[in-house]
Amino acid sequence: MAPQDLLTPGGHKIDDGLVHLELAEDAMNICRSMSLWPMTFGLACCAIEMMACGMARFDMARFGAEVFRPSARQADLMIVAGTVTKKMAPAVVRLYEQMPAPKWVLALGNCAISGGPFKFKGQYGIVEGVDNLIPVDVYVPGCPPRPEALLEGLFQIQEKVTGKRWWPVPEALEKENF
Amino acid sequence: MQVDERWLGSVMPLMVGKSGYERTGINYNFFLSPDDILTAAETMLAKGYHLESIDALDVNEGFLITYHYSHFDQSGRMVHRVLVSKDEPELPTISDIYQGADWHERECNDFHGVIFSGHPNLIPLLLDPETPNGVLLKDDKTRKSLRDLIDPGKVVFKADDFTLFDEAVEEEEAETS
Repeated sequence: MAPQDLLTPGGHKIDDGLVHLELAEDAMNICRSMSLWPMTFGLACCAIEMMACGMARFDMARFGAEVFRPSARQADLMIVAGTVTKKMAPAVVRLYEQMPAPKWVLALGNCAISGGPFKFKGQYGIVEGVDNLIPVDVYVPGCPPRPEALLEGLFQIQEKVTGKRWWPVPEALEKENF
Repeated sequence: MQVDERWLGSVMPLMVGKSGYERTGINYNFFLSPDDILTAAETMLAKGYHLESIDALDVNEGFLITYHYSHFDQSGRMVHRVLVSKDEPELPTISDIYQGADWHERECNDFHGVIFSGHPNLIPLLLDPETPNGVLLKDDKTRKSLRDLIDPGKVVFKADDFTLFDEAVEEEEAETS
């Protein structure tokens, strides 16, 4: 069984409407990006960092993404926080398919990106990267990533939704990349 | 506690070894034949022992299935060991005696492909259903002999036709004499 087989073909994008109202759509996208509702969904230790992110110290609420939804039907951001095992794979794909579009996926941590420390010769239980199963928008590396990294990943999702970065870049980062 | 070949009641072990608890965490090793494993488990239950774990080991001689028993009120970890052949890795289930054995046996089936006949629900426990059983089997290069891996301990009793550890025992006797 190839892991890609699990995803139902098509049906995961919204086609462009017949009528284009650019201004209205832009406004809509800004609203979406400022109220991303992630799914309450943790697979391994990265989920602990995700919880820390939601609590007062790092406080994702400042960026509009604190409403963790326990139902896939109400969520529009899937944070794949942890190791995806082959046994879990069908459930992950089903949750993804249950989310209403438009939806985004953030792979949090090395396991979700590539299998991380569990990728070795002869391994039998791990999906080597959640992008084998579902399309991923933003990858946040780390083992586990710091909560700041998850926040940065969230900013990247917001940038992807609206085409604009909304928050200042930290000074140290600015020197490196931007 | 006096442990000898009659300790398990009607079950006659192939070999009983007194193991060093400080070194192995095990007090006594009982090597049993596959047919005796059910009666032995019943005896352990009657004595008030509980099952700690069941595990399988892939060795040159076959699969060594190990049942760890322990007691809440007294010290003494008793270990039943059974060797089954590679061609027919099959043992009777003890899950109708110790219900907790159910999942341990399923785990052994997942990782080593050992079949526990009579098990009510022998489906994968930890692996996904499409992964073939026996993912932890060794290849010929890494597989070792049982004698290199298991220390049977000081021999309390040994059946005449049980020769698995003979060489090791002779060496030990030579050392002690």
